[in-house]
Amino acid sequence: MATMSQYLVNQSLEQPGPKVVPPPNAPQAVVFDRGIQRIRVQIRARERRPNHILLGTINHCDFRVIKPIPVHLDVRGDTVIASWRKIDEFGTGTSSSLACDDLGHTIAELYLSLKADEPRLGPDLARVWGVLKEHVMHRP
Amino acid sequence: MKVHEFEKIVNKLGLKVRNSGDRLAWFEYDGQTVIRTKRSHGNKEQPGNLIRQQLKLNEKQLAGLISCKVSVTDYVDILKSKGIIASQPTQEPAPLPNPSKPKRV
Repeated sequence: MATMSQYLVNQSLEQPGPKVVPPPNAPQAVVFDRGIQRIRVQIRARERRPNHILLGTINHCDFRVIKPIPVHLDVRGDTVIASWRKIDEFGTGTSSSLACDDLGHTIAELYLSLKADEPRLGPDLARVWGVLKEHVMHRP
Repeated sequence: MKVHEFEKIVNKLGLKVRNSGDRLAWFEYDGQTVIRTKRSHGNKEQPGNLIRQQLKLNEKQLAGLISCKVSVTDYVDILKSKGIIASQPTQEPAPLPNPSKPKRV
C-alpha cells in the first residue's frame, strides 16, 4: 500500500527522484481528475462449507486412492459427518478434515475385513467390495 | 441414535462386534456376512440415519427394531425381501443309485 501511495504521488505530481514502477500484473494506479462522490461496495456472503468433495487420499499409509471418492459432508450440531453414500459408509469429526480422516480410517478397515471375508460375503457386501476395489488399492 | 439404542440392536440381532477405532458390528446369516455397521466410542449421539441405511431399514422398521416390534426373524425377512440375503439356491436332488444295475468291480 505504501508503495502504491508513493507511485500515485510520483505519477500525479511528477516529483523528482526514483519512480516506483508496479509489476505489469499488479493493479495499476488511476488518477481521478474529479473528487470521488460515490463508491459502490459489493459484500459477498461468506463461502459456505461445500456439500460434496472428492477425496483423493486416505490417512492410511498402506492404501492408495486410485479413483477419487465422492464424499458428502453434512453438519449435525457440532459434528461433521462425511459419508460415501454409494457404500453407506461414514466418518464423523468436529471438522470436515477430521470427518474425512475418520472416513478414510473406516474405509481402510472395511477393505481389510471384506478382503478377509471375501469368500463369504452377502450380495450387498460383495457389491461394496467391488466398489472399494475400484477406488482404493492396498499396498502392504 | 443413542449409544444404548445401538447396543440394543446389537444384542437383539446377535451382531458380532469388534472394538477398533470405532465399535464395528456385523450380521451373519447362514455363514455369510450380510450387513455391517459401526458406532464411535463414547456416549455422544450417533448418526442414526446413516446407521439405519447400513442396516437396510426404513425409519419405521428401525423404530420397531429398537422398540421390540421387529424381531430377528422379521429382520431376516426384510433383508430377504430387499435381496440383501440371497435366497437359497434350489439344488436338484442327487440321482439315486439304480439298484437294478450291479456295480462292476
